[in-house]
Amino acid sequence: MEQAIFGQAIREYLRPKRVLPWLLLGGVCALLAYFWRSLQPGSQPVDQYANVSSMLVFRIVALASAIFTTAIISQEVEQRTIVYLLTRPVPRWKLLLIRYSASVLVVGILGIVGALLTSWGAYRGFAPNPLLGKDLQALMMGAFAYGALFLFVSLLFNRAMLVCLLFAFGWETSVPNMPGSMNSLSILTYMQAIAEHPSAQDQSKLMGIAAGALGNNAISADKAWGVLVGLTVVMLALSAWWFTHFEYVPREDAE
Amino acid sequence: MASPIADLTYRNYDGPLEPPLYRWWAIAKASMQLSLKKKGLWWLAAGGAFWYLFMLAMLYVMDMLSQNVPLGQKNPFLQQIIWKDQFLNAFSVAQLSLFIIALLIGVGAIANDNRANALLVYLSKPVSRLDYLIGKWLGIFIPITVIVAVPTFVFFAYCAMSYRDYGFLTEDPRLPFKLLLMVLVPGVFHASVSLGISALFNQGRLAGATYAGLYFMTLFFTKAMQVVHWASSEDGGKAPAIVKTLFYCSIDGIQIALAKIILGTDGTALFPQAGGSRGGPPIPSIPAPSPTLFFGIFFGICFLSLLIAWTRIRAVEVIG
Amino acid sequence: MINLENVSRWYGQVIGLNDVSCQIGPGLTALLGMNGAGKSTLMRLISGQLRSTTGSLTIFGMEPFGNPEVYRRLGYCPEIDNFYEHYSGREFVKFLGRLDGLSKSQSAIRTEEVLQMVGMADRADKKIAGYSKGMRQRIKLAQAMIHDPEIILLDEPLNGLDPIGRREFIDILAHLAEQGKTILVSSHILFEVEQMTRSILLLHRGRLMASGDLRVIRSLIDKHPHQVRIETEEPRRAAVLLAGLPNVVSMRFDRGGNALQLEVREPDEFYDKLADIVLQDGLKVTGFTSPDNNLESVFKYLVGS
Repeated sequence: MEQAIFGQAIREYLRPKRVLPWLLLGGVCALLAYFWRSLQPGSQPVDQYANVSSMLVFRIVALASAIFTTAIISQEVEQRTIVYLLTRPVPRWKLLLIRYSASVLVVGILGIVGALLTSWGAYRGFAPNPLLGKDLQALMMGAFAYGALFLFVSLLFNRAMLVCLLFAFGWETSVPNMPGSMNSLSILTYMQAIAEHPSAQDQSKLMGIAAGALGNNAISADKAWGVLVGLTVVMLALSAWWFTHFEYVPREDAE
Repeated sequence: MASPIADLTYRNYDGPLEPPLYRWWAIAKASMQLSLKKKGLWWLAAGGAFWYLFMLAMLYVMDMLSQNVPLGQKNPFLQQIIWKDQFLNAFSVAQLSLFIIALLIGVGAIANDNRANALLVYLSKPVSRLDYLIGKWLGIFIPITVIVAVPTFVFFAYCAMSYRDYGFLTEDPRLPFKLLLMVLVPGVFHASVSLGISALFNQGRLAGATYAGLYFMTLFFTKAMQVVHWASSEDGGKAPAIVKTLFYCSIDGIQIALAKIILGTDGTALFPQAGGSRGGPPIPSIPAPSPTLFFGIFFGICFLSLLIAWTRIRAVEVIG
Repeated sequence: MINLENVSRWYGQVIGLNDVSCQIGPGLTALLGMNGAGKSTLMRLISGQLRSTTGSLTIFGMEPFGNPEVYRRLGYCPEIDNFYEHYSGREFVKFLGRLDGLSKSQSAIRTEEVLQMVGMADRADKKIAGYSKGMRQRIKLAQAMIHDPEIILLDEPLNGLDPIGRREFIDILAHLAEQGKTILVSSHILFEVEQMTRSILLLHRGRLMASGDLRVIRSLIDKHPHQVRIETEEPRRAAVLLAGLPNVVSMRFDRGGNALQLEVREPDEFYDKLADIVLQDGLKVTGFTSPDNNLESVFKYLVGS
């Protein structure tokens, strides 16, 4: 049963129509990293990778999470197929968490593909990239954390995607650069802490603004892991409770 | 001879019929009525006017401070303001709000009709595809344009009444006409692109996701170009010329570029002497790009979007 | 099996279902009502998609909302016409079978059985997006039956089916009812319901207006005497003979002149006496109908009163 739910969700998320735009985005990241040298002569491949990764690849995870995670329940409600899922002998929390896992897997893979392509672009081929390992971890953890947060949001709001996009691009663009402890309210800050990009500490401050890494960067990678795992667990627990206790019935009107 | 008992079994409309000219207006009106019911629209409209409100507060405070300036001298802060640049700044700041408004009222316009098979109903009436397209386009264009225009011209009126001594009217006598042109840009752009994307989907959510993806990813691309430009300036080097053009290659960027071209300015900050974020060096502004190229891109994108919408508007029942 | 006690459901300030109490047992029961009467609300309450605002609703003694134990024994065929369009009918049914707890092989076997039952076995490999309305209805019924549930809820199942499809559908439901399953079918098309069952639940404006056997309900409606139409070559003589019966409330001749329209009370007693008259007085009766002894009349009398 669990396998069927997971398989169906993965099949839904991996439809070519859905995945292709993300692969194209990954391609754009790779091209940008590839040509960064021409745009900023003298920069090293590791910097080129770090710049494009911080500015675009990390955002891909946020954007993909907003879109895929809201599909877990909101899309089913919108296309009214939720009825088939909720009238089966599957506990609601289980249904939710399995579909969440599928979406995180897909978002994580899209982020990882983006990072690999960017690395390929920056190094003009597959070469050892000292930042890649931690980046992949950060991206995967980001997929879990964004996914859990957006899942909860999608259970609360009708227009969840709008709220999630505002969070992903409004909040997550401005808050990480805020002074004091404000930046600790952003998921991106913790992803940056896990990734430990040199741009966050050593490079141009202007680069830091764009990368969302200008705030207090004293957060250790261990603390970042702890916070993101904690956030994920709390949000998933809240989502599971909420989804189990409240009604999800398709709307009659199509607006 | 007519029967003394009226046959009321079929209640048909026998009042005056609107001439065909107004059919698109009925669609536009229905779209706008639906939009105006959304509370979020009003909040976002207020958000779009944020910079003007900030400016009004700032100018008021500075005015108060000018009471300490010796008689016969002018307030140095107000004197250094380049007025048309403030309209450009407000226009730039409002971009995110305007985009979200487009998401809220625009991208679902055709997709939701596809979903509800309303398109089938519309086109079964004596409404042509053109009526439908124009109606839907106006239904997005008018609210967005009004939301941009109202604070712009309120601010203009306030400044015209209060800061003539600081060159508000003499700095650029054609400013009102330029503003009139500038406020049309977001409405035209968002209405066209929203409809083009909307027509490709039968779920407003997916259309919204697509537009949002396009908006944010191009935005971050242009941010990257901005960073390259800054970094080059910091190093005393020079970025390739194309960076200055690529900087405008986003949904926001195209509109800001056109605003710069229309207003005839490259833009300055409200406090041009202030540094960048966290006390860094002053942020260099990126000059306006080639008018021919960007008007071409602007109208090209609008035309292409409307063409997509036009070809996709068909009375086909969407199952599921 | 399904037990409702004073169940009400509010949507904000609008009441969807108002203080409904009833029991639904094995066999085929029709849930009737006009649009907006509360049929879908009741279906959604029973299928555990909604919670009642007040009152208690139990299935096999358990509350259905989000209860997997109930769903193991309940199949639901919703009114909506939405599917995973890119799935084939076979994949769709098989997938839902897996969600019902069937193993991969069990699900595959049952899928074939139910597709055969609904007449879709040879057409189920096409993508659902290309299905006609009737094919969609059949697939919906198939997915509701795949785990062989004891209770099957069908919300407007006959919508979109052609006459042959309807007949087949009704036969399938009758067959399932004969097997002892509890089947609740909602509809507002009365003549179709009449072909399926005489056991009804009649909802009107959220209230349960009547429940039970159609004939019993009809006989209890005293306000409207039963109409009886007797076709005879001697309508005036028949009138003389029948006028003396205490059950006869009114009578009139048909325009054609060879039939008599009567309004009678206690129809069973009247029919006994009519038989006596036919035998004793040699009244030639060529035809005999009771035009309002049907669901539509019952519905009209109850709802219109």
